[in-house]
Amino acid sequence: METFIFIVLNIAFFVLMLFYISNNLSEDRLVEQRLAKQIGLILDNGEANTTFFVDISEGAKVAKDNEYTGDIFFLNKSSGEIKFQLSRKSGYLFNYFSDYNITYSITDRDAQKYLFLVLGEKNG
Amino acid sequence: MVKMMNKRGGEKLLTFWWFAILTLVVIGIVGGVSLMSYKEIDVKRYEAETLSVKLERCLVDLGKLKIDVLKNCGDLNRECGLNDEMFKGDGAFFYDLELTNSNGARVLSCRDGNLGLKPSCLFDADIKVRTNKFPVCSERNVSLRYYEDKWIDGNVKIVTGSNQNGRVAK
Repeated sequence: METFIFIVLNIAFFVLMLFYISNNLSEDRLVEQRLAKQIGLILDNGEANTTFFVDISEGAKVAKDNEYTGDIFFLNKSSGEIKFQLSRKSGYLFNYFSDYNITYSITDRDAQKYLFLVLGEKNG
Repeated sequence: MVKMMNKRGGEKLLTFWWFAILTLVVIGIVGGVSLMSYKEIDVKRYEAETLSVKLERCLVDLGKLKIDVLKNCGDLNRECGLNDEMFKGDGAFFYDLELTNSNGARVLSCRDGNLGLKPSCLFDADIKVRTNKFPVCSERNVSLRYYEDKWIDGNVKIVTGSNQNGRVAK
């Protein structure tokens, strides 16, 4: 009986560990972080009245793999905050310091997903 | 002679030591996974450089200082397209501008943001220090001319810094 319990506990332990590792070793967070920082730096570097097309296909693919159908990009102009979210679990927040009137949309082009950013005039 | 009576070694499986080894394995795996999965992409250096370039573009035009912008320090963020919110209190950014004349005497200065970060700044030469706790800063000197009744040669020192790491939103 003790041997049986020992084997069951061992199997349960390794299944739990494999589940934990596969859940935590995904690249989701890294992709979220990379895209958020990339967009943040673009917004900081950009000049007024500029338009940017940023390829976010990688993020869209990760969101699709995670069966996440919500918005993947958020921008809060007043707090200067952007967020990429590619799963239901969490997202990645990053601040930018420039203060332009920014509008954005996500568009499909040639089977790729693009973030279309328009930096308008300075706020204030 | 030692009698081996009723000795059946290895039968006791669920011992304290088995649980102790499992605990150690859990600590090792959780530690390793969290180290591997949390890679921080450090862009502080680029943010500090960008802020510095942005301020230079805003203040200097063809080698001439827009002295009114620098004099009106309280309005500099708005003039230069910087978000005031990012430079309030214990934020992640700061800048420190100083105009000196050709003799090196200070004429004007303007600073904003979390200036408490400045003493712990890492500059390009220190970047080999592998830590994400310290702010990364940029320092540039711009030779220019400014107008105060007459054109005067001067220098603007622009020190900027960023300590932003980004964060996971729950």
